[in-house]
Amino acid sequence: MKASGYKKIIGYSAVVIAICVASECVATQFRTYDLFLPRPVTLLRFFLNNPAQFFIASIYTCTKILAGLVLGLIVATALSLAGVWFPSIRPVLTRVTLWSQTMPVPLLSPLLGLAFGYNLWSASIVTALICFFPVYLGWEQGRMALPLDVSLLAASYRPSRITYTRHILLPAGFPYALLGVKGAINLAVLGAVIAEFGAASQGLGRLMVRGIRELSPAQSWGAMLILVGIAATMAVIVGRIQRSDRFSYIGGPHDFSSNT
Amino acid sequence: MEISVNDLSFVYSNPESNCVFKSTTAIFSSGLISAVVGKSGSGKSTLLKLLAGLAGQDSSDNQCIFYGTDRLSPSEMAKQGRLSLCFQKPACLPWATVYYNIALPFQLQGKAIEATTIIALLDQFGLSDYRDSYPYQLSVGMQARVALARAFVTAPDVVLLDEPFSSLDVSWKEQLYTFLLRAQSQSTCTVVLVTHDLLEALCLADAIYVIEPRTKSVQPIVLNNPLKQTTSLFSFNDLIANTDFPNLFRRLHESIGI
Repeated sequence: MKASGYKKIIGYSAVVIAICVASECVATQFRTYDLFLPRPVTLLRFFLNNPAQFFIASIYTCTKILAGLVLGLIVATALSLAGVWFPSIRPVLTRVTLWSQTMPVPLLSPLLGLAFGYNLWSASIVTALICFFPVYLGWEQGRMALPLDVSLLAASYRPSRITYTRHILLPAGFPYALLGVKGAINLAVLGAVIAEFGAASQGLGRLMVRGIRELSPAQSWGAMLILVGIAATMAVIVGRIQRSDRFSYIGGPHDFSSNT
Repeated sequence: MEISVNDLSFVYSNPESNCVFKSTTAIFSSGLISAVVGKSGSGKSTLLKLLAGLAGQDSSDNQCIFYGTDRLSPSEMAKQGRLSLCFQKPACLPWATVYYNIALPFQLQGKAIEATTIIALLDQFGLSDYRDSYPYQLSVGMQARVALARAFVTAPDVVLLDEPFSSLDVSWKEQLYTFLLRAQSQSTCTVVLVTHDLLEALCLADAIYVIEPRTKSVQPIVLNNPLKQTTSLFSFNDLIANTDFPNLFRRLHESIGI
């Protein structure tokens, strides 16, 4: 690991420790009610006493988040490609996609639970419905930013639709879709939790609800902290992919979107 | 492969646009470099798009014919992968390495990548050390080399060049002219070079055509260019020192209508 990497880790750790120490001091000084905001020590004790419960719930929720993200990515890619392959339906498709964002997706969660059962599918569909839009916008940005010269050059070789998509459209749009994925991660976490509120028997969302019901805020806050950790880890992984040599042109003079 | 343009008329579909070509006729000889010069906006790039079948497909397919062992339209040429284009901007794919940028024509035509051809071209264009570099890691001149190498990678019968050297400085131009002359002489393909640089036309082309702004037609001005440089001796100094240079330059200058 580079020296800058260690510095970052030390920096983040320092911030977390400072927050823990400060909240512990505030809790001790003002004797805050544990039902509102549990002290870091209480939280830590709860984690240590119930490791299996949190671990299993995290695995369930992570699976739903990942499945929802993948499904969202597939939906977004399919919508964007449908617009390119069938230009006549693109205006309608764009409008319908935009309008879909006004839909109160969380309300669908119990209905999907009824339709598909309280399983991975219903949670993944809710997650995908919530998180596909930023990825779709990413693909569209990549497509629109493709320079005319590149399009003409490709057209001069008369590629098939599939070949053009594989060698030009998808690689051109991918870095922008990644930006969308970064934005979609938080929405996917939110989507998975909402889905678990409405239609799930396991997961961190269920733990949060149970914590509120059982007047055990440490359980709810613990689940919430794990969710933040999951989202942060996923964002770091996507950030790593974005910073690879292959996509380093994004934001530079070779970035299509900055040239147009 | 000889390119014959017969009675070509073209106007963009935009109702406000002017006629670009009016009953124009020209023949670009096989195995030679033909330069087409003209003022900005005279239709030089449009002519290349017509020859590549990328504009006015109906008129270009009927009026532009490629004669080799068979008689082909621009669309047929493109479909068979016998024609390639190089633009003013290098149009390098930023997500692909130099190797894969040069291999792009193979990928787009759905053919297997010919690694030996690409490696030979990398060597010929002085890009061997940059094989795994990305375009953003290269200078503009190097990117222009990549674009030029890509135009020759499939050994096309016809190469259409749309001002590929216009953004380069003199030293880069001298280098790239050498690369172009070498690549063309090795492949014996027909090259149509569109440029607004009269010096470029005089040192690279076997024949020079002018797009006449008044008649909107392509006129041959120089058919056996005595100033055309050889691959090993290329330099602007040799060109300017030649006794034919002032007369030919003046003739071209007057024909363009500057």
